[in-house]
Amino acid sequence: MSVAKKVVLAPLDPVHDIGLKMIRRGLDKAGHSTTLFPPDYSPQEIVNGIIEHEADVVLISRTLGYGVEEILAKFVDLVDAAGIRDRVKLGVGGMAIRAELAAELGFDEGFGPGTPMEAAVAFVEGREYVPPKAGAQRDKFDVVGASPYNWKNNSIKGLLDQIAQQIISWSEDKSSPGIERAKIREEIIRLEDMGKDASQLKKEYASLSDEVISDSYLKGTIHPQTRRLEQSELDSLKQYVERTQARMNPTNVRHTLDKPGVFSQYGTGCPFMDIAHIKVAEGWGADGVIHFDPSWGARTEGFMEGYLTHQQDGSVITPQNLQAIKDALMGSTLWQVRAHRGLNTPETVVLAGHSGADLTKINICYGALGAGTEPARLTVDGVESIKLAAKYNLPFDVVTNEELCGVPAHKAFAGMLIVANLGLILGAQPILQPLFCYSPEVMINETMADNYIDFNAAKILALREIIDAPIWPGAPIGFLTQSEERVQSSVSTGLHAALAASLGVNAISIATSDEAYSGGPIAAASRVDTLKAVKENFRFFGQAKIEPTPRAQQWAAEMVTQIEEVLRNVVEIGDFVDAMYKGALGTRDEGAYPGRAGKDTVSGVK
Amino acid sequence: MTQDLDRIVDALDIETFIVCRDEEEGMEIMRRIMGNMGLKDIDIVFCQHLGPGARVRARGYIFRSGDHYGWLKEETQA
Amino acid sequence: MKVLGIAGTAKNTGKTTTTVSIINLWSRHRELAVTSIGYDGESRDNVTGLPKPRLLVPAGALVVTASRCVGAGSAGIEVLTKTDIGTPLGKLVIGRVQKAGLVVMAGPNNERALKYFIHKLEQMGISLLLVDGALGRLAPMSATQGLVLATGASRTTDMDRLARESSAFAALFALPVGEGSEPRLKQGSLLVEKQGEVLAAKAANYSTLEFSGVVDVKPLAALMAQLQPPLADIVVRDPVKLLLSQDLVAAADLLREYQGRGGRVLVRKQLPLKVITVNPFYPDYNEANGEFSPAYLDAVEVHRTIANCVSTPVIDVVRQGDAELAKVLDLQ
Repeated sequence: MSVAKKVVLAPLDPVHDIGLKMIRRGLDKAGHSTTLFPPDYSPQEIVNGIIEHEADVVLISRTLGYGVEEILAKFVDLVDAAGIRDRVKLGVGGMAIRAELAAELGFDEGFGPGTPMEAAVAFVEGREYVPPKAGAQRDKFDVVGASPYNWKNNSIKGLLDQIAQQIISWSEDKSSPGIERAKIREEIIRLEDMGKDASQLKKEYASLSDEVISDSYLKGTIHPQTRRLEQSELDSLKQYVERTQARMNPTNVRHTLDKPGVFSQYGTGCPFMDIAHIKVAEGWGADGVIHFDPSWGARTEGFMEGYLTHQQDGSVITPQNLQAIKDALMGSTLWQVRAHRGLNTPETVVLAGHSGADLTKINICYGALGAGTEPARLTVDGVESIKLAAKYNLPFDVVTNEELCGVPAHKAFAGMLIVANLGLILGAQPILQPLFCYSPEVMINETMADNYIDFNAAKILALREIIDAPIWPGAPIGFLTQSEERVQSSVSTGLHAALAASLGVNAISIATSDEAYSGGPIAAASRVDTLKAVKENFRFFGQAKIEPTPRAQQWAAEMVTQIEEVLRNVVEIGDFVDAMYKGALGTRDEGAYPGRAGKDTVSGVK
Repeated sequence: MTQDLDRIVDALDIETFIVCRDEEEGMEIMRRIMGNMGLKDIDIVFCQHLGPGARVRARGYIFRSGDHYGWLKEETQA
Repeated sequence: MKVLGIAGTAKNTGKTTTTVSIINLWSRHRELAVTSIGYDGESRDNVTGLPKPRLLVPAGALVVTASRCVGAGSAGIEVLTKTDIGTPLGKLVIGRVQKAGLVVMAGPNNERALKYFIHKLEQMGISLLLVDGALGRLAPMSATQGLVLATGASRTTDMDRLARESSAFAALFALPVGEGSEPRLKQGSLLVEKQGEVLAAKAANYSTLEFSGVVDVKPLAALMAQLQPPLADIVVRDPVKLLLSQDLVAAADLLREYQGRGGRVLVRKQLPLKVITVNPFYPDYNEANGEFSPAYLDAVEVHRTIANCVSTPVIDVVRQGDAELAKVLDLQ
């Protein structure tokens, strides 16, 4: 440490200054000798005190604004006339202070409101204070962490293993257009990376795709709801991204917590608009962003190529769109590209891996029972996707969106655990994604009549009784508790985030305050609302906990029992696909309908 | 005003409390206010009548996905 | 080289008008330099963020200002010398005005830096340096050789008070030069009452009490009250050291009283008050609409009120024109 300085701190206000007291504490801790004058000293008394104490540094504070410039100028003048200006460093701080103004009035340094303690200490010690730089590299948030994947419930594990074995052997000799296209896509990428021509492969790809997609390869026409982005727009994008990156100085929402990571979903329709939204999310504290693609993408075999914008909800997945988005991300932002439903799951994982995504999402049960994809097709595609996720080192979350259809949590969890276990066996890193939502089950059973805490906590407790695995509640948290009213919506998200943090989960996906608004696309500003709400909640709670009532534990125990029952049922049925059709993982009554997209497309030859 | 509006990422929301007899009147008044400010592509995001009037939030979309975005262009010195 | 300081007692007292008049009167003949020692709290240019330029400087004159201000006004300035003296607007430079125009003047704001430039400008052959003052900035004026004080209705519309203040100013500047007799007790500044009391106890052994720093009226009163005849000589460095007192009128009264008792207050360095310029203008605040509108006291009466209580020349530059000013300041 540098030489200890003699510092005089004096308010030029008629009131005590808390700021000076705090700075004094900081300086004392740093080993300097400080003297704090009371607030009623005249400038003459202050200057006299400076002389008597032989001060090296003087810190003045002035919080009131009226006539501040003249008062400060006169003070410096007095120091000058007293003949000691050369012997002391003069600093001034306060609400009305701007650094430039202070310097012009003759001070050596001025500290405006919000100046960190370190800046004042650096000034005293004669060091330059370097604030955290814009665009400073921070580390990527680690969602999976050092997760050991310890199983805590052996009988459930045993059942899951049986189911997994059946799935693996069943899919071994099967393929689908989705799987074939994924292989071709890998080849196309490999060739194009080497600068070679891949047009023959693309023709083959087109032959395995739906007409609207193959037309785009063979005839150059594109899906009617999309348009190609122009070169001028692409050029502007590059400059826009550069400009924006230069001024990114994102905030940290986590305060004293080390988790959860906060994810924000995007999918305006246009990859460029997405980028603008992503930048807002990044700037206001999101650790990661999630790509949301259009629903027709799930029902259409094949992906188009090119920079395509889409007029509605969800941004089209093309290799170029994904690359553009990746290029625009900050180095520390996690990026999830979801593959969890639809006819393109394996290829999505390939594209995600090649575009540099960090995570993907895979759930066979939800896709088959809640998103319209045929169960056998999604099972064979899902297994391939999991293998690809392992190959590309993409951890994936398994989300229980079927809860939103009405499937009870325990059944959805059974499905989630089946896929997760499959993932572990195939060498991947699954992440559990239960929902924090006001689901149909909750409405019917009235489990959230009193509070939103117990049932959500029960889910986490139940899962933890079965396995130690990373947990990432979604999707987003608080779903169906939000209204279009901005404050209510943000508060709900914020509190759900606080609950998640209290439960020690690894990550959360949050909504925007436009979550419940269906009249148009979400506005970028609404992302700020919920990120601020989350930040404020984390600040409020810090490391303190939210205490559920005893019902949470009770429900958790029930869930574990019910999960085991469901799995036993699946094993008894003997065939996973069959089990889905038979309603073991969600009945028609419960809103689970085996999908039909991709029916009869599973081939027996690999 | 147009050049400044070009810098809005997508939408301009205006939120306020309007003295009115019911939700319908509140929304009507809000739409007119938005229209008079020169905003198009307007929607009422939220309106709740309680007490003397309604809390209303209206939105005017400046850019929708697929448009040519003003903010994508070179930032000129203000 | 003459060094003339121009100080105002308040905003809108016509300091700028006076300064510009002096510039015009002088530059017809010899080498001129202009600088400013402070920041008047005037509004800033929205685009540059710099203070708005107030002074119109003719071609050929030198200016001392901060580097970032050099290209800011309408004048064309060629930088002659750069210095290492830093300000938030860049390092201070000496420049020559090639094309006449408005200059954003942000010069040295402490005595030591001003002395440096006085020395340098003299070496460069300057014959008059004008030091434009600012509110709350007086200390550097100790380095000048004479002061022009701009005052008027903007300071106060209360004629009595204006008279008393102006008279107090003049009195402080009129203190005779001297060192006082030995033995002397040298001190730094006299700032608080306790010091005055302590000093009074020691004073009996000394004929002169000399202060190199600031002397404030309150401790000085405490000191003087306790001094016994034969009263010691009180010596201060220059009038500016007394001008920073919290109450000028009280200070002048105190000195007069001490002198009445047979005591002497001397200055080591004379700093004559050359002229007082008066401005009957003041901004009238309208409470109803919260706006200011220009207003004027009777110019003749303002002039007479002040001229009656000081022996310093008093000039209303707008009414009387430059000629008097030129004569009094010996600018021809």
